[in-house]
Amino acid sequence: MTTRREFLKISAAVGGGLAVGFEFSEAGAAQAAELTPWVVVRPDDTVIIRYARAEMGQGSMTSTAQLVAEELECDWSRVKVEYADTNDQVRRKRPWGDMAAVGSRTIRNSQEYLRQAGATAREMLVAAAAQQWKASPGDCRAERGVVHGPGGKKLSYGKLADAAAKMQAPKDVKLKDAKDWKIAGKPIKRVDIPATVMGRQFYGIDAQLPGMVYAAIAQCPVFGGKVKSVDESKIKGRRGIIKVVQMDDYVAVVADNWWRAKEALKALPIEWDGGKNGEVSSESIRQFLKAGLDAQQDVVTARSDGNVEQGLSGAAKVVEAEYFTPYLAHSTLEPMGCTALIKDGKVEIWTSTQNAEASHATAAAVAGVPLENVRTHRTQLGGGFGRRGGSQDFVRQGVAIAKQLPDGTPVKLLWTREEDTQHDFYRPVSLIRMKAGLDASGMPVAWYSRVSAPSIIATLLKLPLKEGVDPQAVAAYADQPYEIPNVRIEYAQRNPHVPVGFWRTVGHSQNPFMRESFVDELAHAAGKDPLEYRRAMLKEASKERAILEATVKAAGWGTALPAGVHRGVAVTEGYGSYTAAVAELSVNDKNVVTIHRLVLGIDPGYAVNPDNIEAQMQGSAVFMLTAMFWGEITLKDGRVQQSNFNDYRMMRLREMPKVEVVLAPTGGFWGGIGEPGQASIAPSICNAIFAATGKRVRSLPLKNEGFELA
Amino acid sequence: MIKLTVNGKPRQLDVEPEMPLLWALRDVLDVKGVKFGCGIAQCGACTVHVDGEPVRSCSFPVSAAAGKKIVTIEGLARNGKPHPVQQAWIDNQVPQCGYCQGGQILAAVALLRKKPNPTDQDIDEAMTNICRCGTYARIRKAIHAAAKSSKAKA
Amino acid sequence: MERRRFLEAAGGALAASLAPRPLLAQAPPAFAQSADSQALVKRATRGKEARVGKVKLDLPLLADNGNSVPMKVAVESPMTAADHVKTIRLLSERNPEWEMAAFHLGPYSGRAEITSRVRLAGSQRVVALAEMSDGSYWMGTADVTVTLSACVDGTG
Repeated sequence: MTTRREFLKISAAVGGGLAVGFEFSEAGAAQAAELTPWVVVRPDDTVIIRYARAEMGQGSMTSTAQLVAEELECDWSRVKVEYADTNDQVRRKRPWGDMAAVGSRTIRNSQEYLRQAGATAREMLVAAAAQQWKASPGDCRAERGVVHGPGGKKLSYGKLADAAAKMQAPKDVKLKDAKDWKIAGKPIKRVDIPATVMGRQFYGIDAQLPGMVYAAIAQCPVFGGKVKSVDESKIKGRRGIIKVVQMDDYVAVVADNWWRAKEALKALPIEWDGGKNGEVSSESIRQFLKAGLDAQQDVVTARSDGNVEQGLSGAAKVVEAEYFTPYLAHSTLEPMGCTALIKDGKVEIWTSTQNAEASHATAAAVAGVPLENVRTHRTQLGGGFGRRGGSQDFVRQGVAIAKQLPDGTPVKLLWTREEDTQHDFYRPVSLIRMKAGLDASGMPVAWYSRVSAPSIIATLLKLPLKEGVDPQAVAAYADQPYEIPNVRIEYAQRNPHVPVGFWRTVGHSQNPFMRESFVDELAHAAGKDPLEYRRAMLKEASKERAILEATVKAAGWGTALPAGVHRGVAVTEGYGSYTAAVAELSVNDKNVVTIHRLVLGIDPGYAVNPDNIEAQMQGSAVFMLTAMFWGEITLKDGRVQQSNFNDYRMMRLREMPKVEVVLAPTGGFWGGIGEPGQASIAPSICNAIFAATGKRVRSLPLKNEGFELA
Repeated sequence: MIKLTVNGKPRQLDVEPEMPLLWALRDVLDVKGVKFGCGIAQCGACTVHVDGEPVRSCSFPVSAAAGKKIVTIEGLARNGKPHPVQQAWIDNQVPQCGYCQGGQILAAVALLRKKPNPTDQDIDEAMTNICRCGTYARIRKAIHAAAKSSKAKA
Repeated sequence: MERRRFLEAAGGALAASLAPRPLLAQAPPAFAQSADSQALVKRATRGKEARVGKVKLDLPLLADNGNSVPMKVAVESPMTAADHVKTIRLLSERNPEWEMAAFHLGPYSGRAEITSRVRLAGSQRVVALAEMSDGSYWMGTADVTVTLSACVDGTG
């Protein structure tokens, strides 16, 4: 078996190489002392901080290390970050806990044990110094990688590491108050960026092994369909072709070069059996969801306060609307793929994954080997956005194809962009009915929403739903913050054959659009300013109110705008953070929308790396604007109609509006960063479009409503 | 046998003339900084310089590169020091996932060669590569910064 | 093997067993000592004490999905008429049916060992509870991480 070290040597030699800022665990490990699973100190004072989850551009590799380093009191310039090894994870019974970077929860779910790890290692270093000096640990203190003792004695962490590793880990450590932070809370430069810009970053697609072969794949274009027949004779004699692998629902061509495999696959006649699903279209799905809105059966209640019927019947005015959001693809720029090597009952995989443990367990299951015989090599991800976490289809395929090849043959599976677009686990389609009753003053006394949509948790993860409710499907409704006495939220779970999955911001990528647009409709029906209307429904002391106020203040809500320029506002909570958005835009007589300014506010509780938070908010703007102007996956004959960036459009540089970020952390809690930023954007834009044109957008994408982005 | 120069080194390879330069570089010559994103010249992750011009190598036959000088993201640095554009990318913390950034940087270098002091409109027109993470604001900032730093040196 | 369903009894346990709890919130290496699993054991023994030991439960540390997870339970017992294992029960913190399975044994079983597959609704601590012929209870536990369900633990 190619060892990891050999592999690394190989890849370094060919220029695939490793990142400058971080490294894999074997290099130099011999002389390093592990103080906790998270902290390793080398004699030369290098401090290695391990990172367990994934880095896909969200920056957590750096911000988690900042939290460890803060408590460790080390010298940040001597810090290197390396990935925790999945094989060690299994053998050592999960010392690193959850390895998944999903749900914007890397910081909020691991901050406590990471800070404790830093503090624990620091105490061990101090104790080792005190022992050496025969001093009391209370008379010693750690600062920037050095322990200082009585009489001006000092020893660097590198000199103390060996002794410290033998010290008993303290049971209770005191963590710093955020106001005393020196490394955390600062806009520290990301550790992975130098390698990226120098072309040395290592992604899953970059694995290169001696004797490696390449696989291109064609999956049944109709979800759930099967391979009927393959005519291998048509590609016989083509250069470099090694094998045609026929599986239940896909065909792979293996060749000595990926391009040759892909070209041969194009020429390979494959007959598919799509079955009943071959009749499904976007129209039939829409009808299916529509029936869910009216159904009496198979509907559950996700929230019920007061009595909605009474509230509505006693209302001075009732407002009703239906909202729609489409399926969306993730379109990570690096397509799905997995390199797998099976040899002597052991399995190694190289893949861009948001959940290395899931990849590891999947590889073990498919290969039929114990977890201890697997290693999932950690790499940077060329985008994740939820595609590479909850579904490990690419690993399943990569290992299954490797199983079809002679033992010891490494194979790199790579999808085309077309496969990637047409075989995603899509952001669910959703149709929602809203109804609200307003009292004589125009304020809502009753709010009713019914969500007719697929369930990711029931269909992808196949987990039981508590009382039949998928919390993501009713997100932002069931937990809406407005003070309304009578509320009922219903969920009609309707699952078409299209696979659904976690798409950045998940339920909050669509429901806030509908909720906050509808709140605007109510404000309009009441003849009130949309900001004042929200203020009246939000408790003064609420976090929602605070971020709304900070954002509208920065945006200058209420100040005069140039002729033709209009504002829209929205506020949403999600992933433990609170966000608000104010859009300023104009719409010309051809319905071309010019966004002059987008002000995005976020309160994540604690801001571990402010510059990274700004970057995530900027990125969220591009991601959401792309989706809301152009994004839709449609179906015909059971198949996805879009295929590549020519028909599934991405925003480009010239289209990105000016984005201003209002970072307003109020402390006392830990919120997410990667996803919440998207939530308030769509409604703020659509509310501004209404202000500009009088047209209420109730369905996305905007291109289908006649609007274009300038 | 097709002969070309990659990052200053003469290379030769025996492949089909129609094989895209991208795959010749990645799978045959093991130059991994150039990335595959779409295969139809839409995204620009595969951007390389061919005799100084930015080219989308996924749709550029390797035979058309014969005898030419290819520069990939790995070949921009001089004496181990980042190119001024790379430095500007670090200073402005441009990348997120980073997958498109080699192509973005090569597109920016080509732009700055033609227009050492580009306007926002010049940047809009030249920078058509897709970044799914949405780093566009920082790309713009970094290009302006690189233009300034180059001027300061000149 | 007999798979008993305690649907009605599960009604009460349902809310508790499915209530989200902050898995791994503080100590990543292991599941925090769970009040849930202790309560389950109490329920199964009708309040009698169950001692830790004699029962060895093997489950994989990681499962790629929870639909069919291999498991093995072995109980130290001579399996004689005088001293044997009467039942082995598998208790789940998070499944809708808190008692996943019950296996009835006797001296005729020869060995107190069971190999089977179980369905797990997410990452959790599983308890194997053995009732001995003398009426005493012994237990062993195992923590399983269902890796794909990691996406929905907490707030998703």
